[in-house]
Amino acid sequence: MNLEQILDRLREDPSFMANVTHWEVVPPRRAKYGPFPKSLHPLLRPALQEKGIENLYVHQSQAVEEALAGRDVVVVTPTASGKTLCYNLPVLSRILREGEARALYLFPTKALAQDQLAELRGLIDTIGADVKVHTYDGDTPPDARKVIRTAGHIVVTNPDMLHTAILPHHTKWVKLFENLRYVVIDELHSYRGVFGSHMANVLRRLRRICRFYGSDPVYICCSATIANPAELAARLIGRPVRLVDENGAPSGEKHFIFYNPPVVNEQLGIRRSSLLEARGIASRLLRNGIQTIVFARTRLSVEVLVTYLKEALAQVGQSSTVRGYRGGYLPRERRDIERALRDGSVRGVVSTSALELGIDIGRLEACVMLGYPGSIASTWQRAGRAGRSTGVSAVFLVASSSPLDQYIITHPEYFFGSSVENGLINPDNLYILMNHLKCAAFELPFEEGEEFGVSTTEEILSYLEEKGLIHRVQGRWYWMADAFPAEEISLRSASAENFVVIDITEKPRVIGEVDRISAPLLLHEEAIYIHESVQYQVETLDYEEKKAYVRRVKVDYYTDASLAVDLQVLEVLQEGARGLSATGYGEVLVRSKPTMFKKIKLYTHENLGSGPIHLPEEQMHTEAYWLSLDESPWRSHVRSQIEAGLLGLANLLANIAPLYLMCDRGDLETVVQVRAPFTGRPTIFLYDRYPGGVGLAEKMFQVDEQVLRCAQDLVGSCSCADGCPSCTGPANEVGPGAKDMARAVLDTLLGGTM
Amino acid sequence: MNLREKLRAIDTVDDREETDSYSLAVRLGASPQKLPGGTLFRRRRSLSPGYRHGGVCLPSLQPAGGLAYLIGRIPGIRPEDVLFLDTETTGLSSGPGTYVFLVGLGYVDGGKFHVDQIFLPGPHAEAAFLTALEEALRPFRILITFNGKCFDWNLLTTRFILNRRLPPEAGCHLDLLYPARRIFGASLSSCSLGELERSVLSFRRQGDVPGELIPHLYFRFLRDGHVEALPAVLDHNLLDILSLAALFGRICDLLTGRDDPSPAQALGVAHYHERRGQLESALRLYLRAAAPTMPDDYRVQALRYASLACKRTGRWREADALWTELCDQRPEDPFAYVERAKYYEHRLREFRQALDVVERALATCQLTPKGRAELQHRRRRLLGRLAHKPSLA
Repeated sequence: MNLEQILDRLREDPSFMANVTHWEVVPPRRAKYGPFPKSLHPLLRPALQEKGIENLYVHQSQAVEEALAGRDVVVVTPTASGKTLCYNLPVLSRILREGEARALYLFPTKALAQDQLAELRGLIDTIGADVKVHTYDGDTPPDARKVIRTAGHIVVTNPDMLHTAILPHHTKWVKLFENLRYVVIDELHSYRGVFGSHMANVLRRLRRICRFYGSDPVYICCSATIANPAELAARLIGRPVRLVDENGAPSGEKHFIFYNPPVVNEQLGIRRSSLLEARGIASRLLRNGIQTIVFARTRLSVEVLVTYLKEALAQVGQSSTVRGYRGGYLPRERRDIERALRDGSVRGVVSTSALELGIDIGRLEACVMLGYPGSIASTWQRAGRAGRSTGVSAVFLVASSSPLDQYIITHPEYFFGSSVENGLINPDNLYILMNHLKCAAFELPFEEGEEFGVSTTEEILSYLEEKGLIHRVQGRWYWMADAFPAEEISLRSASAENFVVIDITEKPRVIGEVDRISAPLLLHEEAIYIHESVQYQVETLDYEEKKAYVRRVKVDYYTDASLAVDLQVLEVLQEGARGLSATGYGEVLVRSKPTMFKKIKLYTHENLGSGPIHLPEEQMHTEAYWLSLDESPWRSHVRSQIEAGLLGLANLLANIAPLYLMCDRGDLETVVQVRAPFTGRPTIFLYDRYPGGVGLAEKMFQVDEQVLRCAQDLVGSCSCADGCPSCTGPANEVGPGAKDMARAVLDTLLGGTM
Repeated sequence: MNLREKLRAIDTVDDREETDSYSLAVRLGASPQKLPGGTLFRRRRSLSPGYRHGGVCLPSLQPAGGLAYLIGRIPGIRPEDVLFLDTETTGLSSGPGTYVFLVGLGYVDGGKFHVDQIFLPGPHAEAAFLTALEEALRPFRILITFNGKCFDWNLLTTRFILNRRLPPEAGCHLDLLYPARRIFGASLSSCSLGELERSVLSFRRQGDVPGELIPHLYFRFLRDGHVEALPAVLDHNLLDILSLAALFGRICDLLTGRDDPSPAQALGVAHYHERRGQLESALRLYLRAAAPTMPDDYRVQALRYASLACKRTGRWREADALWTELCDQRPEDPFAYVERAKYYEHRLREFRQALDVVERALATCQLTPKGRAELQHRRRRLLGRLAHKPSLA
């Protein structure tokens, strides 16, 4: 059966349709072409034709035209719409005309950078030109680095590398900076919140260094669909950009099916496992030869699903055509899988968000999402993995029992009716700015009157002079400290130190990596670690050395660990009062500790027992804002009502605060305590997810009035009955009555409704 | 007087700068040098003709012999062509935020050893500082540093680029860190210049400024004008230059045979002899390195090199004796077994004995899969040969 026939069959199957809450058909779109820009180098068109590209889509044509004319541009492109040509064409055109010209490509991750090489080199080979393209990242061998620094026409790297290795050593990159014509920033939408604010400052430093060497590159940015691509791009690169957002790529008819697993226990409201339902849908597609990608939210569910799907396909002798894909796989393994997906020898892949970004795996026919990805933008991004230029494609969103999933699946109009999220950044966040100003001063002395993003540059420099880091003489500011400032700031919250997983069944060998945050949950002793659907049991975890030693086992269960989080106020930096309630911000210690793990039987998912986890707790010093409520109006309320109200209000604040703090939802975390040890009262904490804090809590303290008023507005105007993800959160997550309670709390705090 | 003239009269900036630079010069015992782009300070020390540092007479350094081993024969090289260079910097990280504020240059001229030091009074005067340095480097053909390839020269190159100037060519740059490691590494816990100074040159510094304080003393001078500590910094750099030159002298003496290397030094020295094709003397040194007093690993290494040197000079019997000893010493290491097997098979054509050695190796050695496969291949071949020549077996 082909996909159309399968969809027809499903539509006629009442038992399947009983679980479908929505079936959206996105009509096909025809290709829209634009001309080849006249100024494009004449060798490029025949090369494209040789590769079977006769025409440029209208967005490609416009973007290339703008970039060739020397104008900064941001192209908004859905997944797999040929965005790479938007930058490869102008860049190659320029290098073909000017042999010394250089370009810098920035991708948010190493994997994406690697992915670029193959395609770009393919195009270069077709042209037959001597254009050198290299990746420059932590894996680049030292002897290759020297060559890349002087001879690479196109250097493909990531922001972290630019921040710590390229900019602070710019004198080794003279050729690059003197001749830099284009800077390409792909996956622009991933530079949101604190990470984006860091990136904007890294780009400020880049601009300074270019100026020093006399170059002024053109910026070409590509973004997935977000609400404000041009604004985000302009904030990032510090000047206005042209927006190209008319998508000319054709697409076939797309079916978007919302699927809610059936209730199996009416009384308890328990639904069938979304994992098992996703397995059912995916194996049906795969057995019919439909190339399918399955997105799961955790590494664990990726591995469990791969196991299931391999088994399902073993009956038809095709279990090897299903692969897993996630962050912990080694680079070579991932390249293999990507290649096999492109050439069709792998028919099914189960992935975490790792494949959400623009890694080239070709376009598949169907996509199954196990659980709502958490934002509208990334749902569309993942859905874009399915869909070819012609022919039908299908996306299945299988809801988990989490309240957010349940809300989305039962309110499809919320998903299809809302616009995608904004990408917000605050490059002038004092904490972030000052750290990059130090790096900038290390890189080049500051001239009198020179501005680094803000007009108060001189004040900050004076402050750094008082701190003894900078020396001012004859109108210039020189870095004068025995330190390497770029090493002291990391652009990302998660530390780069991964845990290594070593299989000691035979000769010890490294089979994968796990990031620091997930390691205690996945690699505690006795955990079943699944890699490429092979089970391993963790024998010892060397926490200090960040190594887990595992041995191959065959058991009928997997393990799932739980985490306890605690927040403690260490020092109050400022306090305020709001009526009888109090606000404040200060330093806090957030502690998380894995407590125990459960053994869960495969297929039946029954609990086979549990065990303790003995691991040190993970600590993070950061800053938090808090709001502790006067209890007197709520004396008659029971604890669970107050807790629901707190959770509801915390959700509201977490939804709204990013707009005022210009950060991303993921940069903040909330904790509620019905009786906080620190205040003795019901308290909501909003904390900064960056070790040490990046000033979000302080800013929140300053603008909390506005945030609270906005929350009051929102909760008053939201049309949902008892909470939704946009306001207080789904009722079955935060508890019934949360919305009313939160509204009442806000009214008391702010003195009545407006 | 009009206002402008009045202002000029009270504005003593220029004057102050001159008095400052005068007092600075006095405190440093240096003289100011005014160049386009700023004023810098130079201090020159000339040592008496018989001056010895760490037991080495610096003014009579004869570099040609040692250099022939270290970088190859340089026609017409004179003692006056060699420059010793060491810097003091504002930090240890390389990168444009680290400044070189003092360069010490040591050289022989007119039968005396001189140390010229160029001091940067502040980052604003860097252009002049670099001009002076470039000028000072010009007369020399050989540059000798300690860890200069990674650090000092690298940093100076960065400074030139930052001033948008072409970095000077290093010409022939000898970084003594590598030969020092090779020759003295076996007997020392670390190969820092300080450690070499103590153990190789038996020189003890008195009242010296600890190196890690130096950037901070310079920062304090820039910030508050504290000149007091600077002469000590210059002296520290001066001693570094003297030790560098003396270390070079010691290495030359060991290489040229003016000094006898101890067993712990002999392996490193032998390496340079072998590299120059002096197999006889290399062999002698390897054997000295294999002294029974030396640690096992070191001895074994020396024996291996010695056996190979014997082999290459056709001293098969001696080589065989060394291999026999190695087999005893390191029964798990296939090296000597393989060499012996080759010797018996190809030179002596004693297939039975060769087979014996191979069998023993297969039984006792720790082998990589590749090593095992090679031995098994050899074994099969030997068995074949024995089968064809049963009479000789």
